[in-house]
Amino acid sequence: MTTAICFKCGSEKSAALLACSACGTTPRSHDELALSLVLTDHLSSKAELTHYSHELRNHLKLSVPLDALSQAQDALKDPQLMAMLGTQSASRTIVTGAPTTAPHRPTDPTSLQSTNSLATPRASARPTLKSTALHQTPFAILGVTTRDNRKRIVELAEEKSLYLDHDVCQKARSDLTNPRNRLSAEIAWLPGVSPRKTSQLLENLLQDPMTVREMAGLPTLAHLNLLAAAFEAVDGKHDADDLASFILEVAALADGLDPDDILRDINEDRAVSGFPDVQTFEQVEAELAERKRYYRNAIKDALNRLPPTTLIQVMTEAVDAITSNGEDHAPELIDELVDSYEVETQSFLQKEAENVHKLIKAARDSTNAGEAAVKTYVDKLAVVARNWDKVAQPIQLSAKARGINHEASRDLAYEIRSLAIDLFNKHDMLTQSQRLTGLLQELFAELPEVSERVEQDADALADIFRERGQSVARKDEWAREITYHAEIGIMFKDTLSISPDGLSWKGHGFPLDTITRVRWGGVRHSVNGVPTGTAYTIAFGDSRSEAIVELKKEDIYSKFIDKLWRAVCVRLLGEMLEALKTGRDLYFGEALVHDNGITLVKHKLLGANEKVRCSWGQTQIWNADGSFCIGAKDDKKTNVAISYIHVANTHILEQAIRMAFKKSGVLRLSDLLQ
Amino acid sequence: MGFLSNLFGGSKEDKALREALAHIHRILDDEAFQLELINPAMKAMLESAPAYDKAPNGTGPFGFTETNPIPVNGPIGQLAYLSKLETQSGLRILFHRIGAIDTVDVFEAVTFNGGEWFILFVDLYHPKRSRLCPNGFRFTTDVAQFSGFHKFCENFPYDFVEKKASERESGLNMAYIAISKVSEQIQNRVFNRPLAHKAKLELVKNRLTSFQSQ
Repeated sequence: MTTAICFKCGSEKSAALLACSACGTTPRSHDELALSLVLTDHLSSKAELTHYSHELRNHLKLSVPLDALSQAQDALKDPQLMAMLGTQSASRTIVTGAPTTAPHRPTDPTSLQSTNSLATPRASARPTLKSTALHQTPFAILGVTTRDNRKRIVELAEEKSLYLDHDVCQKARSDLTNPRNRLSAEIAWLPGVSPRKTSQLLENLLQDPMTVREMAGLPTLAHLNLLAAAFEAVDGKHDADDLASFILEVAALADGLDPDDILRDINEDRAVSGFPDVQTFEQVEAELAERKRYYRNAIKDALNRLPPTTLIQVMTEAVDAITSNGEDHAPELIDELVDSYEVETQSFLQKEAENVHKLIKAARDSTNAGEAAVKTYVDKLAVVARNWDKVAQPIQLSAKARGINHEASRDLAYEIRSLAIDLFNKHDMLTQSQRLTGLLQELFAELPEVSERVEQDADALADIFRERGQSVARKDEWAREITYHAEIGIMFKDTLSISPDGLSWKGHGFPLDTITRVRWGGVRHSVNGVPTGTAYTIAFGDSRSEAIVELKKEDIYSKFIDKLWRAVCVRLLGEMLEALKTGRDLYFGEALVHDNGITLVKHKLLGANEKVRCSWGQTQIWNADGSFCIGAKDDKKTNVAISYIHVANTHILEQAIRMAFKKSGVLRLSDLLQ
Repeated sequence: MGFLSNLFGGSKEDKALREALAHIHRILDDEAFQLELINPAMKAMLESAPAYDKAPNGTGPFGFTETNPIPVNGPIGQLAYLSKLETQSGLRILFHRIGAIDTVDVFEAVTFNGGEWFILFVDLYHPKRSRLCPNGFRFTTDVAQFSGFHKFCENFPYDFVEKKASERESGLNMAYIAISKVSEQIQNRVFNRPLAHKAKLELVKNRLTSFQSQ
């Protein structure tokens, strides 16, 4: 998978030329496309990408090398690629239904190469206004300046009353001449801006409202009042990215409001107009608090004119960008905007939460019907949860930036987590549990507490998944290792086979788990000292019957014994040791095997043989004449010979004893189990 | 002509070999036989679809966009058609299916020498394969043994040998090109996707509505 970073915000994304999931920006111009290709592991190392991401996140100058850019630009000459980029943009418009700059993109791929920059939505749309809230303030209604005295205000009010609403003019006069109301009117106006410049700005605001965003050198309060008025030009087709930027510009400016500066500007004008000075900061601060509410409402009104999907997009982009994905504090205005948004989305979120509850219940109720039934509900749950998250995203980011959790999101996340845990713990539905955990990681990363727990869940589930995978792989490998079949016989062939399904000879099958006895061996034949071949015997059986295979081919014999050992004998060895551990004694021919020793036979030339019990330390072992022999170390006449070919499980006993003898100090065979 | 034709022309081949080779030729060339090899339900669907060389309402460069895909006769038809393509410089292509955009299958292809990479769009829901070539291609005059797969190759085209072996079950592996035609290039690691192609792959993968394990 490609590693890429967004040319705008520096966040990681999955593909160079697709939209960034963090800031929503899609590279569009030729330069943006070329830069985006450089910001991938196709052209940059991982270390370089980390460095570029840091530069972008901190608004530093990007240090990408020119030769990489040149390679990227060459790649963008590919006509099919450029045609695909055209389709990409078009399909995005259809899917989201959101306003898009795609129409600015030439549809002819060949003409794209000369397109270095695209017109911004606000420049291309150039909305105009007939009036704004700023034009309805007392100063604007009467056409007075902040430097006009009381007498001039009264004259202009009388004059305007001739052709405007009389009451409106008298109210404006009153607001401007009453010292208590005047401060409110002054703060809603353009304090610190000259009368000539004021007229010009008001005219520009109507002709091209968005140009006020590019103006420099204006007093902060005046600039903010102009920008708040410009929000009235935002309509439902406004570009989401641009509106998010606009909101951030206003929020940043509002955070920089300085009551000292405002007081100074107002009192300077009052000195000219003859109104008494404003004496205290408190008066200004009280009016500024009211003014900030007005800015918030102006933005809210603009947002409410957008289609719902665009509104959510704008809020998410704005909060994400200003808080650096929830890491930094947002300006006060953004926090207040998010609070309003939360109130207005509450009923939607409640309804979606109810849907999630219903789906969780349905998923729990359907566990008896199997994983396929649960999967259906998990699919739906994923859709509803994504829907929820999309709307709640700005609230979650804002909460994270403020160091708190969005309670409703947290509750929802824990409910889904609870389902994920139960699906695994109670019903062993690992896949669905992992899906839900993945969903939680994706959707609720902004909730630190949830994120941490879900990460632990995901790790635990991943470990279980991996272990199960390994277990399945081991099982498969074991199945491959033990599977074998051979045709035995010259004229009439019989099939000898072994597999996880069991052992089979001449059509008689024994499941692996039922086998209780095995024996095998070979007898060399010769005539007058001349070898005439070896006859091999393999026998296996359960408690009721035994299959005996006689064969001549050594390779079949060797291969089958190898498979038989892996498939059956290892288990029989364990079972034999377990039996000895529980105190059982086992007969092998004449020998009686105990956990801590063996009863041998002392062979006498005259008289009856005698049984002698020896500890394992008193015995020694050897092979002779097709038998496994065990004898007392201190008495050559005390021994037993157990035939490999005729006595069941002799090979297994031999293996156990040899393993025990290799471990020094083993007093009991069952010690091998430890 | 290739070795298959030479063998056909010989007189000493035994009957079994001749029959096997005839079978291979039918898989490669016989459109009706190619339809016989697929599921009867799908066959009925393909036969009821219109037969044309190019979609009458297709827009964009033929074969290079999902809005103007190459019509072919089912999945075997896809293999047969794409295996017949060669560039104007006479280089045939290796290919694999990376997924589908709605009903149009998307293939990634590379010339045998690794020099040129392509993304081709093919519509398999037709009873006949197109007689037209995408711009820059022509049909090979050689016997066009299969050189690609209608499934996703995780390590394309370096996993060609394994993927060819996996076609044993389908019985198609005998219709494939000899490993020797690509083994040297695979050994020399000549197949490296250029930047523009990587970008195209990312874009097209983002638009896939179905894909195999990737």
